[in-house]
Amino acid sequence: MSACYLDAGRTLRSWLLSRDHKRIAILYLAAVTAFFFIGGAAAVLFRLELLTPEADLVSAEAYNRLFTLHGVIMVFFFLIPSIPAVLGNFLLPLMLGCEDLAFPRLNLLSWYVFMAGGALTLGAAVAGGVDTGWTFYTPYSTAYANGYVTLMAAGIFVAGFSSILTGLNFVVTTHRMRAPGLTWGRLPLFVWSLYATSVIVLLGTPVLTIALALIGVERVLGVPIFDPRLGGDPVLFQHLFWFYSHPAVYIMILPAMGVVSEIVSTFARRPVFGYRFVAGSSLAIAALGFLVWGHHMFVSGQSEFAGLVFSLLSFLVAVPSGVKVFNWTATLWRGRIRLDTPMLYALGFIGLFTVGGLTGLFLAALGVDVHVHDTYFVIAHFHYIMVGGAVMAYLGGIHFWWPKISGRSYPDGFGRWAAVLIFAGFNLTFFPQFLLGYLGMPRRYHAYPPEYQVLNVLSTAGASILGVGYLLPLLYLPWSLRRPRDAGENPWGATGLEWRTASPPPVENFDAPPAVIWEAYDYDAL
Amino acid sequence: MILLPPAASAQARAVDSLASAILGADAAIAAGVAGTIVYLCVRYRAGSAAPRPPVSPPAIAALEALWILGPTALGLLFFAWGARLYVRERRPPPDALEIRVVAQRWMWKAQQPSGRREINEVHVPAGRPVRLAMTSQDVIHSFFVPALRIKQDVLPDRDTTLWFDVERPGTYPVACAQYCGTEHAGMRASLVALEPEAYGRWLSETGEDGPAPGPAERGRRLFERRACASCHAKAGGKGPPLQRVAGSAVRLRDGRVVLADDGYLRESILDPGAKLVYGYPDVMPGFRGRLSAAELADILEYLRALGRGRGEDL
Repeated sequence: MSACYLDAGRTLRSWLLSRDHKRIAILYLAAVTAFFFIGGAAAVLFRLELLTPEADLVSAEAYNRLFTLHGVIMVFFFLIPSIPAVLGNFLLPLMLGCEDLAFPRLNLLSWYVFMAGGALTLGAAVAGGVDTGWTFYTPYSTAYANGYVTLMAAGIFVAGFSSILTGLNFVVTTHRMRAPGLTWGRLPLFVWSLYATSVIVLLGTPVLTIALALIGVERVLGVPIFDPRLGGDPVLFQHLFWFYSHPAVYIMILPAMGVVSEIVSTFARRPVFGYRFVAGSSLAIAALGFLVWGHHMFVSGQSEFAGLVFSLLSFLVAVPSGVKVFNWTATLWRGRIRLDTPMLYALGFIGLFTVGGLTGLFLAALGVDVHVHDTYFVIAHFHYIMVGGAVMAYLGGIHFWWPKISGRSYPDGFGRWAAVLIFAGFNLTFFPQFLLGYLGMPRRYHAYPPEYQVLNVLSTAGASILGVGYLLPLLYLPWSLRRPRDAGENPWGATGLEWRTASPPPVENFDAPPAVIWEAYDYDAL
Repeated sequence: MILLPPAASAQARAVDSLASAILGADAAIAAGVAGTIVYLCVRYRAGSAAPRPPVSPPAIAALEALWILGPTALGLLFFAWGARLYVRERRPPPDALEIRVVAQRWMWKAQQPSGRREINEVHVPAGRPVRLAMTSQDVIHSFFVPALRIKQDVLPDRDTTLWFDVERPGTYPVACAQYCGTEHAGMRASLVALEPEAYGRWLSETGEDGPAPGPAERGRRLFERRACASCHAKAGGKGPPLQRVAGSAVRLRDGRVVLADDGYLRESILDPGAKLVYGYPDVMPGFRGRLSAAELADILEYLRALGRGRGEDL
């Protein structure tokens, strides 16, 4: 039996130059954890500012820089890479029964590219910040904003290449490196969701890259593209931006859905109900997700016809997400359900994602969207998807695979408490924002009329609970590293190939190349 | 604590109706999913004695069909309903009263058909369709009236329109909903709906001897009449731009930084050479003796309407 990947070298160099997908996953874990708490700190500051209607804690300029930093960091440096680059990197070769990704050196390069993008972005923040919002709308971003817009856009531009390299690696690996007998119909649903995500990344990211490059071209070289005073079209930017950034929502949520499929099946000890429909819905989302970007622009002045088409397609893209929720629920039917920490996160995900998805119906419906567009209703909606959904699933996945990654078990009691605290804090933070939005409080307000204060105080109170909830795993998971590596190969009784090797896995992942002769989620074959 | 903003038009109530219908459907679905999950987690907990026969393939197919077709049908219903409201919202009646609106960081300027101008107020007659023809002087803004449940982005170099029919006289807040920079949150205005006769009277107040418009508006006219705008209109002019100068920290040629309070602003109008702003030449004529106190007060009020800066970094 060969050495476990954690023992393959103890030096910093052995980590920073490793081509082992498992070690690179740990590098990503460290990086996205740091970015998560940087983005979270910005949120804490502006939630405190919003305790009172007046601008008293930070100035308007500082507030605008804080929400921009929060959005940029959380979207591009946490949500997009979190599940694919950490859990996907670690698990994809293990789930496929192979030794590594198709291009191990490219995988390490993508981490360095990611870090370079992160350094540029943080550099822009430290140098003085950017106040455009993460959406960089023109002509504000190109002709009026006086912050380090070009530098921050360059950071996101660079990080985009990291996404593309990882996406490419995942697509090739899934096509070419599956173990004998592991047909497409037997793939774990997490692999299906990573695959669909990677396709979106490959097709969408270049468009964002181009849009950001054009911002740089206009700001630095003065080439008129978006600035109407020079003959440009400011709305063109919105089309380019949302052509990527709406599918990017699915880049963030599809891997989360894959994690939830794995967890729900394992802790219900039942094959995922309607496997083909759950897998197919990932592909349907990937395809339809490219055709709904105009719903971010219902009040932008786009044509009435465009509004109607994008509204109709937005209702249709909700259907495959609904299919997933109903199938996860049905997976519980006639199962043998245990409520360990990962399952609490997964059930929390289903509840919060359902609320996030259902409130999307208000936004897809043209007449209602016109009212709640650009208000706190939108903020609440997408945080239910992104934080209630993607972050819950990420934490669920970290807890689920922690014994595999580290070889250790963590204190389950702490885990459950943290999950419950996060669920409660999340709802208290974001539910009041639905009400604020319908009442008419626009987003990106550093000061607000006093009638909105009660709901804002509730939201800030919830954020403090949420913050404590997020800090708990940061304490007890590293603490668990002091415990002996006694988690065992398969502590949860799960079916994936990753559970049929040691915990932590050996450098080559498996002592003998596995062959698959059973269907996905076949608990009877265990 | 109120949960719904006032609804001041038929369209607003129609939007509320659709929102209520969606809320009803959402609540039913969310409660159904949550209730089912809780029930299943109890009944099928590990170790329970509940029977667990296999699920038959036709049952699976029926369930999948149900939850693909059901949500699709519901989605089509809400699509059609929302589309109806949207189409109505986007087609102003031909007899609508047209008011021009110009957005500028960080204020709303309006001009009535009679030529009367306003800042951060838009007077309209109640019970009559009104069409706003809007454009922006700088970045993208968005004219948002929560009480009417409508908004429309306002674009530079392009006209967009918004129409509404306010049923009841009243004053309704207007917000900029599209982030437009530092004082975005302060870019608010009032939509003042008057009874038609009162609106008529208000319009006629622009006549020579009626009560004049508000002080900020008088100040703005003065600002234009005295050609202040030719140097102070925007960055790059001969004089410093005056957006948000009130209350801000101003750096002087001699290196000092002073707070632009009323005293400073007044002195800089009456005796501009006393405290020269860093980077600008000493070319402005002094207005001592050339402005009445009331006129000076109006100009100061106008400067304050251009937004307040922050002096914290003094």
